[in-house]
Amino acid sequence: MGGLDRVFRGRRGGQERPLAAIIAGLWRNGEQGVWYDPSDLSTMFQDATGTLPCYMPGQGQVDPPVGMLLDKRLGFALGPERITNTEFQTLNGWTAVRGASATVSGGAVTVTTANPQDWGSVSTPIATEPGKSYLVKVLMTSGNGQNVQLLVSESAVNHVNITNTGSSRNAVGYYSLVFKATKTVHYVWLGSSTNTASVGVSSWVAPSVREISANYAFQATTTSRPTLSARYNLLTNTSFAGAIAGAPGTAPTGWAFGFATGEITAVTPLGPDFAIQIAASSSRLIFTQQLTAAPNVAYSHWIDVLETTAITAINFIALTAPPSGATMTYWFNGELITSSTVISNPGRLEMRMLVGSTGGSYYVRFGVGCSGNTTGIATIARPDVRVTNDGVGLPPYQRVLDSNTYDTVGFPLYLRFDGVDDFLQTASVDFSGTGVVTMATAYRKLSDAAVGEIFALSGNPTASSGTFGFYTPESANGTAAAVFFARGASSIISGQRLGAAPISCVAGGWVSISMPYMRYRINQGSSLTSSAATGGGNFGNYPLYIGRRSGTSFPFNGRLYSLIIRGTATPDATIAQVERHLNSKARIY
Amino acid sequence: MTNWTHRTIIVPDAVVVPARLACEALAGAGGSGMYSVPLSPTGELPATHWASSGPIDEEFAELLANPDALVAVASAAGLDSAPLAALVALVAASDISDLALESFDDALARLGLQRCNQEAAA
Repeated sequence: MGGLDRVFRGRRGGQERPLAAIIAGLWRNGEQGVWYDPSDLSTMFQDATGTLPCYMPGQGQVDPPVGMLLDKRLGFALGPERITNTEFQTLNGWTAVRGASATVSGGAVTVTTANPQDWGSVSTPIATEPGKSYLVKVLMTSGNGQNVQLLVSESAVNHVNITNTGSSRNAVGYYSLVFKATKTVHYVWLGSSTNTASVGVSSWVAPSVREISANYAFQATTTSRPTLSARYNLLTNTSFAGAIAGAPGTAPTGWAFGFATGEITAVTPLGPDFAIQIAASSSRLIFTQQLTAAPNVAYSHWIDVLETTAITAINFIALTAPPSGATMTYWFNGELITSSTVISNPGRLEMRMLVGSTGGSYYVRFGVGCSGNTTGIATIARPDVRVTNDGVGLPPYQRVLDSNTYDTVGFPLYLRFDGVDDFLQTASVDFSGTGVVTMATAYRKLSDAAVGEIFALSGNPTASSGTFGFYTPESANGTAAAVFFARGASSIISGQRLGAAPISCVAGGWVSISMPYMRYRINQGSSLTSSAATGGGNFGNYPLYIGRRSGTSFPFNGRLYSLIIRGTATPDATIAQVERHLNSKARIY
Repeated sequence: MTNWTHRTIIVPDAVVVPARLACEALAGAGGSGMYSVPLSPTGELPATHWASSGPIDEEFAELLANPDALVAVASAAGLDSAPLAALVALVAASDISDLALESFDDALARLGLQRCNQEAAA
């Protein structure tokens, strides 16, 4: 057993450790890289400077943008608090400097400067480790219009190698910065900036300094931030709220009666949802909602049949104006049936539509008599429509009240990149100490219309030396390939795997530009290898771009569930474990 | 707490530079770097229009939809009448659509625009 293998095995005769522990152990020796895990809410902020944590989507607010994505490679997203007095019940630990005075009240410190343009502040020491990065933030709750700033200095009383929030801000709100420590002690200052015309008075609460990995990803431009989502069911008001019994009664809110010659005989609570009992006598009563289908994609339309007399499958679920060339199959409790199969027992009924080369809008019908007049009584609930290959082992029903309110339990979180202008990037990540990188990523590609960059080291990864990247698709309306590539000193080594959108994938592998050699695979299928010449060398020191090449081209249209890059060789068995871990999160295969 | 909404904003090439400056002035750092997607009727460069699409603060969306509110905010920020008029004209020249009601591609189709072709991946 080699040294690398020993690192990733347990202490008890090769027994495999938990997958999450294996992931965390990938960087135990300080290896370069990133670990982005959008399933972990503590790693994401709505803004680019780490002040507004992301909230769970689906709880009534618009899916949040992600402006800062922390790297978990250090074993944490945010380290322990470094400021000893964050409560401001007293001034303990804080010192008024440069002639300022300070008082505390109600958990806030109020700083009054003695003179303009002299940076009067309160400061506090923090223990730091040189070379490590720290996220500093504080909320200013009031000011007097004079400019203020948060800054970090190597000195308690002088500006020495400072990092600050600028000298021309005076609005209340969060102030934050990231600095890289150069000493074992730094000082956080809250107070006046250099650019003031008179005495400044400002109040501050909740200061915080916590270590972060320097390899966090960010996006300053609001409209270019990916959004955090867990939406799978394409319908809205799946709870059938708003339905009222009658002849025909009232359709659920947001649903339209298709035909309503039958009657709603009962509307009964079913957990947080409602079940609708429909009676038809040589008549019909159906609800519809409009959807849009993409070409060459299969969609599953589901309904719970809670009670039924003998009614055929096609009279529970059907479509109005399906795209030309679409074909339908019916399934009951997972068993293939025909459209004319009589459903006489409770169960979950699915109608699957395979769209041909033509997409378009259509209406899905749920009810009794979807295909024509019929006779019978049935109770239905919990409709769900999703792309058939969108996840494995997900809950069969996702409650969606509206686009902002939906179930998230059991549904993997993902970053949605819009394929227009969304992307994240890091500061330069120095891979110059290695010619080998390991990568693993879980993603869903939603379109093959244009080249999409999931990640790449450097803004010009195919022309610069010492780069790597992953595109899918590789070309517009072309091969629909996913390509993993790296460029050595003079040329590119790459490998393609085919798969038309929409498709979800866990890709894992490694590349050495110094050997040269690469191997990668998708969804733990067969491995693709290459030994194409690269010109050798090591990787470079470039920003990592995620979702758009250099922020200007090749926007990725899809979802990112996770991304791991490790700047060294990794045993194949460990890569397989990493792939399994990513799949356990994203539930792709 | 920020309340988000989603918009697609498309501006003519002739005003893209002042549009970028105005967005940064109105929205701060979050408004910097906008209009980075080149568009044209043929899909070939040079771009005739530029786009941004995605989440924006609801308050910013309301400013874009309400010239009076925009004037009030810009005036309060000290903008003089001439640049104020230019700002209002800038917004009027922009095509602003709600992503909840119209996708980015549908907005392009409505305007007869395409994304400009970019170089092929290696």
